[in-house]
Amino acid sequence: MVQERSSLLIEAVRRHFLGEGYSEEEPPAGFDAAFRKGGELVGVKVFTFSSNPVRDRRALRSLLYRILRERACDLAYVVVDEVRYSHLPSSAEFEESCVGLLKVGEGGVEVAVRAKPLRGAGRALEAPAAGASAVPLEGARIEALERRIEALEALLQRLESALQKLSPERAPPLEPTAGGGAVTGGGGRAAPQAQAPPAPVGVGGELAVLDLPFIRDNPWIRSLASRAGERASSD
Amino acid sequence: MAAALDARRVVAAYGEDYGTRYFKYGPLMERKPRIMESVGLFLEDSPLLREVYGIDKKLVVDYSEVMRYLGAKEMLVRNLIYPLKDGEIKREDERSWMVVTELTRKGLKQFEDYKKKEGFEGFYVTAAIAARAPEYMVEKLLEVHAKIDRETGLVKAFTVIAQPLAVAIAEKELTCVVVESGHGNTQITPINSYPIREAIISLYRGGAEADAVAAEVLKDLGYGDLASDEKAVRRFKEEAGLVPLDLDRAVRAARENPQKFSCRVKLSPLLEIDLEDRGWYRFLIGEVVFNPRHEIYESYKKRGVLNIRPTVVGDRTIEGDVPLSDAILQSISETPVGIHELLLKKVILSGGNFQWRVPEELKGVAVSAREKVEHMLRARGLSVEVRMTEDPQSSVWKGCVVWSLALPDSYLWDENRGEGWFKRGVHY
Repeated sequence: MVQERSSLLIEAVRRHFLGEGYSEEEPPAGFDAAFRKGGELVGVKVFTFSSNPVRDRRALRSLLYRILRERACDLAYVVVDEVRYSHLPSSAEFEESCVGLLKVGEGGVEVAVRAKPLRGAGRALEAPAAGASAVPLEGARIEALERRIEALEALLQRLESALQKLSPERAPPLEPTAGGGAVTGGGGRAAPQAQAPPAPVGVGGELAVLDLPFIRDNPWIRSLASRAGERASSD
Repeated sequence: MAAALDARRVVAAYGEDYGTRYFKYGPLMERKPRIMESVGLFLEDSPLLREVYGIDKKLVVDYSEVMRYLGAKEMLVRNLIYPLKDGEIKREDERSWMVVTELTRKGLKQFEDYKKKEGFEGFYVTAAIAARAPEYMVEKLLEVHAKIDRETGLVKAFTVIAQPLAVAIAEKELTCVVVESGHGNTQITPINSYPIREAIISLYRGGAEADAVAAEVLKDLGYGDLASDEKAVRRFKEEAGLVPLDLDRAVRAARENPQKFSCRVKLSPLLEIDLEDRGWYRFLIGEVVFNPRHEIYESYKKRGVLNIRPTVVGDRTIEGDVPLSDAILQSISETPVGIHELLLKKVILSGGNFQWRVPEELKGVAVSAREKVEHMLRARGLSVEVRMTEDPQSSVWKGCVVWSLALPDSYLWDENRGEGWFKRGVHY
């Protein structure tokens, strides 16, 4: 029940990316938020400072190494509070790592170091000289797959909105969840769930309550569902 | 981004609102909360009850049941317990905790048949308490629920949130200021995905102060004997009380045209109170909720009728009689500058103490709580938007069941953040 500085930073970053035309997505493990525009997924991680600048620099470098190792996004940004900006390693380290740096202050979000593509860089780094020709092939395949996924998502959204128009009470617009499997979707992909499969849905009573005015389209449902991700990344 | 909700959680989502006067509880599937009066009566050892009626209970809760055992006034003073005072229960107040345990148990046991539902393993219970409630209340409530789960198997997971946060959730607002005014206190809570704890102001005043003024009005009208009858006073307050847009103007208008502002309040088939030419008293009852600092209340303060203790926020002390608009602005000023404007655009009023009647013929002089707060804030030159919760009585419960529905199963209790699930098999 405590407002944390990190949640304020995330809110500011959220406004920044949404203002840039990105849409928010379920963040990959290790990130606090993620935003997509077209095929480009941007991961955002808030860095929380301690009272010890030396320890902060070490922790930040570990974070950069982890982001580079995992490459869960196309672009990655570390978000910091501008008050402690001086505790950071030099911006050259960010530029070399490809990880971007966002500074959040009273004036809003400032891109201190622009992120460079991680995945492209990763593939180039991983590819041994002998297999150099495999890199563009793999890249092209992934791009083609991404385009197909986007087309399928658009089709899915159209189908779902058509279904809702036909039978609103049978297809309540739902939001992400807490736990088990999908009852129904509301215009996007269900986040992968590690839980047991969903319980059988009853004769409709369960679904009907989800259409109550205080539940339908409630932004808190998405906000709460994403807290497990926030926790995992801050641990 | 969208995904899906779990049908099992829909069935298991359960909310509890521990209000000073009412306990509201029940599963989401019921669509609205059930309500019990937050009161318990400890029964003294009575051969009559035990041997003649076969009743061996030590404690009964909820006013409807308590009524059956009410006896002499002296016995009531000793044994009638309202467990929450200003939204809080003292750690060592064992009898109050026993009442809360019994209220909670009685509530949950009404839904024992949920155990027959396929896949049901117990409720995900979210309880709402005052924003400034001491931390030990969370621990005590956890103990209460763990105990009930051992007895009934009805609580699979349990968590606690602040009442104003629950209101924001029910109102679907991620960034707002919730002003929740109940019987015992008024909590001003700025929220930006989380309650901004450093900015919360909890005033120790609420419906009880309006009751106190209503009791004084009854005395002045010659009904001093009714002033100690809680039910009669509350009924009089609800029927006669009005919120003035501007107290001085309202009193002047009522004195110039007493007939228009007068009313009769029927408290029982045998008793009707006529305000005659003292209709202006009606505005004193409503104004005290918003501005007890008005000079008109000086005599009440001198007599100890309005004795509102101050609130300590960080290193500052806020007087208990601070105008509500000042308290709201003080609270917002403690939040980051970047969200001040957003917060001023979404001031949400909630709680029974903001439900005031506005007679059609008195509109403009008498106003709703929303109009009053908006007027007070605009008088400070601010562009604000104030609204009432759609359903003040059950908005906290609604927020609780949404929390129960959506908080991930794997999100376990974190002491630092003060949120997450206490779970059977993990914590108890």
